Amino acid sequence: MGLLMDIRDWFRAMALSFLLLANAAGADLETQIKAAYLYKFCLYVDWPVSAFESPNSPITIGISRDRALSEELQRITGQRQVKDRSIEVRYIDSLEAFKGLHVLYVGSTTGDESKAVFAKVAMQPILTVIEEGPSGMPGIIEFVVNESRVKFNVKLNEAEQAGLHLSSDLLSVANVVVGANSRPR
Amino acid sequence: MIGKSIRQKFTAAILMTVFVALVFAVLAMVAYNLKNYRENLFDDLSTQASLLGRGVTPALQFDDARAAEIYLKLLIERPNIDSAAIYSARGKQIAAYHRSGREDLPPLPDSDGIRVDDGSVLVFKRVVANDEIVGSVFLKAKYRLNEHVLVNLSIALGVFILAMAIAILMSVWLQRSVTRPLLLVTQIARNVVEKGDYSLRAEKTTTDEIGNLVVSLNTMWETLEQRTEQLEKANLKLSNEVEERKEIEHSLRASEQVVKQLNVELEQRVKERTMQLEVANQELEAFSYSVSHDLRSPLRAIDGFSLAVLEDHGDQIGDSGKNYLQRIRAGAQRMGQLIDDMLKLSRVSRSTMKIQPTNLSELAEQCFRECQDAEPARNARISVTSGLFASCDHHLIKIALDNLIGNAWKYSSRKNDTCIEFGMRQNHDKHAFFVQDNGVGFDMQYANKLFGAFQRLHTVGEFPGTGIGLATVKRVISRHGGEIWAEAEPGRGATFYFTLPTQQTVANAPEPGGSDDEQQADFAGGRQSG
Repeated sequence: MGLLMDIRDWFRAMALSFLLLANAAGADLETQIKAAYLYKFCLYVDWPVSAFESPNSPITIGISRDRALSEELQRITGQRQVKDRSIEVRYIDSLEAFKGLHVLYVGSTTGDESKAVFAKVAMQPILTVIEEGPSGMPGIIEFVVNESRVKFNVKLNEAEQAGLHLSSDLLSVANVVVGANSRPR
Repeated sequence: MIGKSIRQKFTAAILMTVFVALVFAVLAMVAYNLKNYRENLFDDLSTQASLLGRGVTPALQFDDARAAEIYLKLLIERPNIDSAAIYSARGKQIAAYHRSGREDLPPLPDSDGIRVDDGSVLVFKRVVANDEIVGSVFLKAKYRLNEHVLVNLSIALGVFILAMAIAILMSVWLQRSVTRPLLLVTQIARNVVEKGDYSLRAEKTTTDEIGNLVVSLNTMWETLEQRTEQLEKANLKLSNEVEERKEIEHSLRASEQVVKQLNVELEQRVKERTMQLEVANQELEAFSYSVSHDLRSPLRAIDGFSLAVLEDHGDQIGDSGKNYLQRIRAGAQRMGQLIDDMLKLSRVSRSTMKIQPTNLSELAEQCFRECQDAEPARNARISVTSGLFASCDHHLIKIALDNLIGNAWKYSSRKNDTCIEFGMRQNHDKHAFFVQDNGVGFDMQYANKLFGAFQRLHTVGEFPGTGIGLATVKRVISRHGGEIWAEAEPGRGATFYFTLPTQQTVANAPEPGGSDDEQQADFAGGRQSG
């Protein structure tokens, strides 16, 4: 029982430290979750081999228009690796600088410029993540906040167009999967 | 177990072996099965938990309780899992599964591991993705160890019963092939021992040692049977012989009986005859005695009156008449002599004997003296060996010697030189007394007539005598149990030998020659002087 107590204590301590750390970073919970999700998406996406220079070259995540998220992501991916690749977080001021990215998060997708850039990006093997909105932006994954929970939708056609392969595990936990061969949910 | 039969021993041995083997095998099997069940169950649950963890990893990573719940519902395919739960990395339960009803689930996950608690197996499994703990899986499954124990034991019991049944069948088979011939052999041996029945044979059913044993025993019994038959035959023969012998003995005994009977009858008859003879003898002797006695008085009358006639009327009857009368007197006297001798013979036969040591030499000398006294003028050479003794009746032996010496004296009377000897010598392989003379002798062909009464070899005219003397001698010697015989040659004298059963010789007898001469001289002198 002693061990059991210790482990429960450990869980509580971990939960507490999470909160403390989050507070210390100054990031709100939504940002933290989204940062974590961005990192975890990498676990369920397969890029074509041509997307990387070498088998060990890092996965580059570009963050645009959300400085806090960028910092948060930077913090949690510091030493982590995904499929033997380190993660490089890059904050980009202009969407044009999408070259070499594997994941592109756009915090706000307003404006024609975005559309034009996304039209180009859509053909690249880049996982585009956007916030849900009426813009009709062609992002592959959309964050949705529903009942104060962060969820996401997946658009399979876009993913296919980008040449990316999304794991069915990811699809199984998606809020909505849009696409020809999506499972009914 | 020692007193029982081999069959029971076999059965017991087989059943015991099977029993022990089965008990150990079944125990080992059950133990192995239970261990296997436990390990398999644990492995299975562990794998299940891992799979579950892998399955719910996205749900955990993206905090999708619904997805986790849906995933957990798949456990409906695993009936032995009662309940399950998914906990987030922070220990919060985000999904739960209950097979039936609502059960209390642990509020917080435990450390990795499997434990058994109250008939259930509890499994906690950490879910790790990309080197990070993303949550925990909890499984609760039924732990059916008792059921397994029961199932295993019932299988074991079934196996046990089956094996025992097979063992019993095997023991029956073994009895057929092993113990049955043995039992048969035993039965036959018992028959042989108790009833002497050799006729049964054990059948050889196997080719193993028992078969060999059976063959050996059969051979042995055959030999025994033959021996027994031979013995019985011999016995029968023997008993027949014994029977025959018995019969022979029986008849022998019967004939013996007959012989005995005959003997007894014979003895009886002999006795009767002897008695009759004795009576007749006595009558005869009494008769002859009385006759002899009674005959004497008429003879005396004849003799006396003849003498009276001769003396008183001698002148009247003339010489011829005198001569006749003389002859009458001589006849009468002779008849008187005969009667006397007969009386003597009769007395010798009837008188009781008094046996005592007697000096025969003295008696002989006495006889010679009497003869010499009767005829003093005769010149005779008498020789008597002195010191001859015998156990005999003095009176009777005197009569015998009187007769023998008197005969010698009489039948040598015609010789000028009479020579008579009394002594003892070896003759016919016997020590015998003898009386030897140099008289007329006799022809040996008449020797068998010598000792009969009234038997004479000479006429009265030659030598006077009645023919009774030697009969009397023979009677005396016979009464002493001795023998008498004679050797003679006509004209050269005769020798009479006799034996007495207890005759003795005095060792220091005087020399025969000297004494003979003295006696001779003495007698001669006496005779010449007389």
